[in-house]
Amino acid sequence: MIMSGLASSSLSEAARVCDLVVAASGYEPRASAILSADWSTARRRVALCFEENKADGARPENDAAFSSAGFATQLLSGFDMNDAFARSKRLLETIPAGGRAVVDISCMTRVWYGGLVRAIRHSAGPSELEVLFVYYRGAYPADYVQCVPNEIVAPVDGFASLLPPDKPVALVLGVGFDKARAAGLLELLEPKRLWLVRAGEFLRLGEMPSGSHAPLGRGRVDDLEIPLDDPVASFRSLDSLVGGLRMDYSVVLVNLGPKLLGLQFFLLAALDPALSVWRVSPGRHAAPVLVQAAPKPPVVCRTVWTAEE
Amino acid sequence: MDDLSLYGAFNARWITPSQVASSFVPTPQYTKLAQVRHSLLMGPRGCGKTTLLKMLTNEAQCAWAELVQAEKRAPLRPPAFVAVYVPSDIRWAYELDTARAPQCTESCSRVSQHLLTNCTIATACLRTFAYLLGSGSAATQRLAITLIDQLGIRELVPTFSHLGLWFHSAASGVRTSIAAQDTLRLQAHLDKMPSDLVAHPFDFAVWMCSVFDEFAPAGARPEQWALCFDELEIAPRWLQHDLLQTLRSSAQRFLLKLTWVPTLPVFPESGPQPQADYDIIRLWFSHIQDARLFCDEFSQRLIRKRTGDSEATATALFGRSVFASEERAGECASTYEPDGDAFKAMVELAKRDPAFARYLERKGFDPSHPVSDSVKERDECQRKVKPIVFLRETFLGSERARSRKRIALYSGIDAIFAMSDGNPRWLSGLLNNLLDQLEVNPTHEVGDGGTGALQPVCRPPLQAQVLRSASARFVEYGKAFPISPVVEGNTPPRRIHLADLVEHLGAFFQEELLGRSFSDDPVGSFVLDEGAPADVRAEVERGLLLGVFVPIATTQFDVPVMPEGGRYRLSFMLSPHFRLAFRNFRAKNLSTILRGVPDPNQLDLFGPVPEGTR
Repeated sequence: MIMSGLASSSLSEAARVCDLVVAASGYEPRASAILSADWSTARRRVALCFEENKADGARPENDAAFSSAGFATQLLSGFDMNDAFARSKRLLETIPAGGRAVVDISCMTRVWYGGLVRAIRHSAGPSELEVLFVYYRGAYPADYVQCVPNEIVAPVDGFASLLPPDKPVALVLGVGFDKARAAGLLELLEPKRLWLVRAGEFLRLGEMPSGSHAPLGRGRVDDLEIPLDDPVASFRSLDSLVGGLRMDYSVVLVNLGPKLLGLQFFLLAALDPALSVWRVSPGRHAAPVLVQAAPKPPVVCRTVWTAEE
Repeated sequence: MDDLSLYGAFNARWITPSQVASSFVPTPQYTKLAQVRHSLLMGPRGCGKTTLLKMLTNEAQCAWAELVQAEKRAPLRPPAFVAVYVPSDIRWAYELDTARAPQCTESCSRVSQHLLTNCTIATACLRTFAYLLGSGSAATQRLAITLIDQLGIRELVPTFSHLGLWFHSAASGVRTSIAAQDTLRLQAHLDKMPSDLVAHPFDFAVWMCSVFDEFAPAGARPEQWALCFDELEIAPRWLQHDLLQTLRSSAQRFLLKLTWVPTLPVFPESGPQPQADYDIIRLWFSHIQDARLFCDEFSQRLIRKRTGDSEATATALFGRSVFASEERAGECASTYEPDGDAFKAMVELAKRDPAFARYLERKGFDPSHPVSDSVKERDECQRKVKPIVFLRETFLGSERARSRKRIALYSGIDAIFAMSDGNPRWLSGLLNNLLDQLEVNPTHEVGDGGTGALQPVCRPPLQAQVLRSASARFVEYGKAFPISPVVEGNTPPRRIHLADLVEHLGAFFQEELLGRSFSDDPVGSFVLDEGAPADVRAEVERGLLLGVFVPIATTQFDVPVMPEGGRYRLSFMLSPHFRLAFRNFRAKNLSTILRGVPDPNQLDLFGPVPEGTR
């Protein structure tokens, strides 16, 4: 399937009628924020529960909340890309033609929502499908510092362009809190061009460690600020950016910022296989961070997918 | 030049061979590489491997010949072979390793990877052939026709451009099938490909060159070919194995020039033997004095090009460093005499540091006036402890000391050269960043300022700030490198990362220098002993690849046969961050160092992995 439409939507619109709602149950308190909407009319409700960190943070409460709300819980590893892809495919198979799925990516790993986008892209299922991605912004603790070393620096399975090494790398980097991780990535990938993508107003909500917006690197560093709470405008900006870069560069998209930006990267790469999406993560070495849902309505990004001819 | 690696440093990967030639500094390693032998270029990232490989190409050789005329450079003897440079980078290497479709057999995946690699080789070969024959010439067209015919391609315009597009399309077919997760489509595409195109990469490269040998004009045919595979140390294992094993081959018509990490590849007894089957070319410096000549010439060229001043020197811009300089016995005696920097530091330190005062007394010096007319005594004692004294005097109890004009430790050309470890990319990065600061902060002190000595143009405190910043960034570099390049869902969490290892070692060596007791023979390096756990050994190997660890050899030519048993130190790029000197102090077993971790909150690296990781 290919993505044929993208628009903003709302949680109430998403909950109005849907064939499948998928959420993630993890240790972050914001995992169960999706339950503020009434999903009783959804034909099927699924909570993907991490195999890891079962007793950490708000995980037990989240598991209980999803069960009480009638969600079928399914265990899934946060690190196994093949398993996530296979599970996504099975979930999609339950949706009829013209159906609608709602997916809350707020507490998902890239492995999960990347696997889902990949599964939609290669689905031989319905001729048309609507998928609404929901994202609750996070309010991070004031003392949040996550500068552990990386366990994972690799292309996301299914999102490697495999372009030959005859063009230099252009790195489009979604900026987040961890400036150190970003700096180290530059030394590793050695890009010739760097575009820092900042989620603007979006990230200035809640507490943010000081200095995280400080300039990165030296030399030619370009900056793009996007309005992430307007998925259409931000997607257009990113699409224009990568469209200009791919003529002269092998474009690698890496997100260290909000997951919604990571989703946009996956959507871009689903449309254009010449883009690579990589993940950079401390993996199992990261300590749980108890992120609350920020006191703002979630961003809902509505995508429409149609079968390829 | 836009480049975003360490402080905008030089990176040969994205510049043409002609551009490489314009900034090339000839070295003995180049001369050795240009010999008609298989070669293994060994060194960490940034040490100049790509530059040397590209310099072998005809394009670079021609550019150099022009510079000999234009800039009166010393001529280079051209190699007796034609070099085909096959590029790579981390993005490509990592993605190639993951190139497979679901339910695809191992054999099908391997063939896919062969095809993708061979298309890159084909592009490199065509570029070389075009340079030899002249783009668009009749000979080029005849060769294109032959290649098309040999590959069994139908209906293709016989030009190198169209042939290049065909190879691109062949690779694209693989990429599209993998992206679509369509194994059947992938297999069907592979079945249509010429058998030569899916062969082992070395065999395909030989085939391409053999077609040239057979059908190109006689005058254009080289006596030998050198196939230069860059970044082999990060390539997929199957490609490493294929090419390294070929070093054993006796077909000297096709030479291999490969890049590798600072330790020798492990082969079975029947495998290729260093010196017998291939030359080892070492591209790192264990001792800072060994890199001096290269650093001098490299920095002079860079500075003069950057500033436009043909008389500019690194010493005039940045001054010397009494802390970092390694004078020979009997040299620079004035620094140890009253009013000399070393003398003042010793006197001041002895007042605050009872351990040092006792040390001086044991050595027969008066702590309040530590002078000696004996060259032997100065060498055995004062010269030996000079950097340790400066470190302790700067960092121990300095807030209680009477205010005095202290030297900025990490400044001066000796410190800059030492920090670079002779790595051209790092040296270029440091110099460019310092020159940037000079442009931003144009106030400079010239003349002696009343001291009788010429002051550097770039103020030492400013230099120190830049060098400390570079050191901190190097620490982050180590953190970025992952434990495993490919994620495996069921891999158990490792107990240590390279960054942890570096922190432990840095803290240990710092304690040796700045601890309670004073030693003139502190521990400043480690031996990778058998007692070190397997994951620690793996991280040491990664550190060698990145240049975070540097092998210390007895001579300039020694190469570690394997990581275990070797002696290593931290890169001098880390010295400002950890407050270390630029010296190869004595070694201790790594397992012993790691057992003595002072912080009880640190993970016990030798105990069982706790549940829930860190």
